[in-house]
Amino acid sequence: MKNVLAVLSTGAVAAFLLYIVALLPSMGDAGNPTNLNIAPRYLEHGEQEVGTRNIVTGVLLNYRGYDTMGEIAIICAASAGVLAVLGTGKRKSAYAFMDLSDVKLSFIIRTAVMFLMPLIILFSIFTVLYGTTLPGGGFQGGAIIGAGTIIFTMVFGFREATNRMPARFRTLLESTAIVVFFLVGTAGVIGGANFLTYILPQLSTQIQPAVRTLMLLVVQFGIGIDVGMIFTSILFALLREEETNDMECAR
Amino acid sequence: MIWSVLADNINYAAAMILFSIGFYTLIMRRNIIKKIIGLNIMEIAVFFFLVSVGYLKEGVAAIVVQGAEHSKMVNPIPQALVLTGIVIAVSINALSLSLALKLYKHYGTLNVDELKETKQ
Amino acid sequence: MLQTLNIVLLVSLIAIALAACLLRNLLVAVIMFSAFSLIMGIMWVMLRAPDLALAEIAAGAVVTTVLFVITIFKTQRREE
Repeated sequence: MKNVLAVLSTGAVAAFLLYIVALLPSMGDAGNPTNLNIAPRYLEHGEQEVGTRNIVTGVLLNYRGYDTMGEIAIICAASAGVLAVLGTGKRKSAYAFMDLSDVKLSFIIRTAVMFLMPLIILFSIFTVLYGTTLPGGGFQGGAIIGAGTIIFTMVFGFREATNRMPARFRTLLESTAIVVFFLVGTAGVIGGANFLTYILPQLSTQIQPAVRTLMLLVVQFGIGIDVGMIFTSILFALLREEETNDMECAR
Repeated sequence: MIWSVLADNINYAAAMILFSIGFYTLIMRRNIIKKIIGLNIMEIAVFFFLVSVGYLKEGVAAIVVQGAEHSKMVNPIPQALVLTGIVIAVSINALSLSLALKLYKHYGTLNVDELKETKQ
Repeated sequence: MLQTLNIVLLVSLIAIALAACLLRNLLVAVIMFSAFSLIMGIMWVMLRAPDLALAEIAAGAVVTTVLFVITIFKTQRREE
């Protein structure tokens, strides 16, 4: 009975949504109201106002800078929540189930990952640095760093990965990135401009574009390293197990 | 109702069907991990709809190169919003999965019906 | 030609989402979700959004799938 009711209500929701979608203007039309009001202004003046050639990154960092700040806050809140629920692993007795088995991965996988890891790190730094002229940006590079460390952990073991990236190193990088983002945002306010405008008003106008490019680079690097290290911390928190009191009594 | 009107907006229709599939998974499946998968499918359907609205026929990506015309670029604003949305989706996943792990360690089951029985 | 590719990808998206919803084995459902994320990445490229394709494939098909698999390994593997 409940199943029939659920299927009927889902069908009603789907039919209602399909009816509304059929009434919308057709997709891809040049005369759509969504493409006529704000988008032409961002597309035409985007390059000279923001200083980037990738307009999506420009919208994300300048026109919608507050949304980026909120997104960083959400990532930090999620990291704090995961560490609060699962434990920070400060005790020495943390281990992972994947280290306990005797079966090691095959030689092909280990050699291939050993060759690929420097290339993955290089590609992620390239994606972050060229976020202003090519498709890429802060978050994309950070996700690739996170994916690279996940592959490393899966192939070489939990103990090896935590020896190379201990907790102090990770928390240092995470907190520095956040502080750097806020400092760059506030640097304009001290001179009299708005928050997150990426200029230092006291300096002369000759070097303003160079200062702006530098600040954009610093901000993107901050976001990228922050996101990458937080993904790694979440992975380590989910993997580790602590020895409980029962096991200590059994020894 | 004439469904041929939907032939132009087929991206929108697929996004709405995906949304209702995710909705059904979220409300009717009894395992918590299935519900999280349903939530993810709903989120991706909404992102797909938002970016499809800003599409332009014969459009190019929103990057300024040597011979690009501004009137042929797709709308860049939904793409920036959806990028933030993907970040938020990953954060929701991480937090929900850690809470589900803790629930399993405490109660021994991930079934919503059996979790309702325990009165602790 | 591109219109046909679009329709084929959309139909396969709906089929994969249905399979991820109706399967009882949780591990297979999560692998289906990873394939869903991959085809979504191709759809982002067809909608002229390369930044979203990078972000979706890196964060959806690698990070989310690995987090799901670790949780399923530590909890149960079937739905009941």
